[in-house]
Amino acid sequence: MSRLRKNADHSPTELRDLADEDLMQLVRRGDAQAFEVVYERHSSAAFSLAYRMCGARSAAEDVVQESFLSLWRSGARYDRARGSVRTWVLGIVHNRAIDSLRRSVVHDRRRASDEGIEERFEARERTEVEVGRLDEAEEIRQALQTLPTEQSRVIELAYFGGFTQSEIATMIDTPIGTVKGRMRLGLEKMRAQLGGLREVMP
Amino acid sequence: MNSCPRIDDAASYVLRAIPDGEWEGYAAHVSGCEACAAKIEELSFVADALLSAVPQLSAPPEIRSRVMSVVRAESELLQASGAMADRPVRQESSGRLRLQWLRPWPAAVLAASLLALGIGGGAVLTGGGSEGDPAARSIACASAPDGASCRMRVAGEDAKLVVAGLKAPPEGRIYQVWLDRDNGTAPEPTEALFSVRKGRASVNVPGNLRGVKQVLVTDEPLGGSEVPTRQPVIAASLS
Repeated sequence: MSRLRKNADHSPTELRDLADEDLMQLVRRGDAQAFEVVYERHSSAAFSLAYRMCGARSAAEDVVQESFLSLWRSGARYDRARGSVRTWVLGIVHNRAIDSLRRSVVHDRRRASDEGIEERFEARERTEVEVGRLDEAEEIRQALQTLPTEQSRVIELAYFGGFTQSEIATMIDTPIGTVKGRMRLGLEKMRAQLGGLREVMP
Repeated sequence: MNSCPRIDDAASYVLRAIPDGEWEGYAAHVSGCEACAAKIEELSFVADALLSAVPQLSAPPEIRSRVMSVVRAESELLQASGAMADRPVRQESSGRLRLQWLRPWPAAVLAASLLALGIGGGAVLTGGGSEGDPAARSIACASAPDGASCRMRVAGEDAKLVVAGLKAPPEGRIYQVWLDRDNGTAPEPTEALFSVRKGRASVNVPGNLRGVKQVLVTDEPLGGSEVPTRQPVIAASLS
């Protein structure tokens, strides 16, 4: 049941007890404290995704900053019927990162990245929820890794590399129809493997 | 249900691998194709799951301070001004936000631009009446975009810029306030960054106004600039 009170201020402790969806109602009203809780919950996942895609700390920081400011200013667009706040946040980050990658002239610069950043910014596990999420993430990674290499490769190039299907076809010297087929087969296999996860994901 | 010859595009669609120029065409196809729509629904779950499946890192703390300084400033103004207000931004100096300067815009170019806009005086001063301060004056801006209205309220060394009917800055940019001392140098940057809500904004002009001839507004990259990179959209003369 929602703990959100109408027309009332919430203490920082109360805010931290609220569900993401309730916090987003406050964000719509311009509540900076509620937004900060949303930021606390999802900024590391956002940075992790941005860094995975951009491959450089400064570019990842720009993507995260732009994404959260966009989220703050467009909070009213969140629709809980379409998925969790976390998925919405990460979707914004993903779109921004792809836009950033496609704007860049040197597309493969991402691999020349900040050496050692994983150690310096490695996330600490703090809560049961976070541990659960890490377990889920590991399960998803496993599902990706069990795919035939040619399928996982095209999925990673597209989703985390920001490459279009025609760019991938050129890159791996494979007909575009084959590239698209590998993407579909790979995702379908992952879908079958992760079927149980759907029941527990927010 | 793989009955559509374009079913493979559903995977490209959820992975965002369809080039931007072809995306709309496929989206239109999906709106009339049950097979593709169902496949997208099926595969979207995997795409969403992949978003969280990357190695987890902690977000650098400086991003939080940069984001929250903007958010708090906008929230304060929103709360103070009511539901119809804007979200102007009082930017605190911090980290890389202040370092994202783009190419400089020479003072001579700025001066020429102001002349081209017909700026150079003509401010209308009305004495008194501002928030009970008899020394306050309200100045109509010498220049503002078509359809926008703009006034500056000045009391002593404090000034507030109030605008209405102003378009939002372009995507990825924000309005920034500048102080022009008309001494042959480029306008001084201020930390007053703002956006608009429903075309409206109310922004405190920071800094020492002594010797300032004009207050200017340009749109700049998020985080602001050290020298203007665009022509001013608003100018208010203090002289």
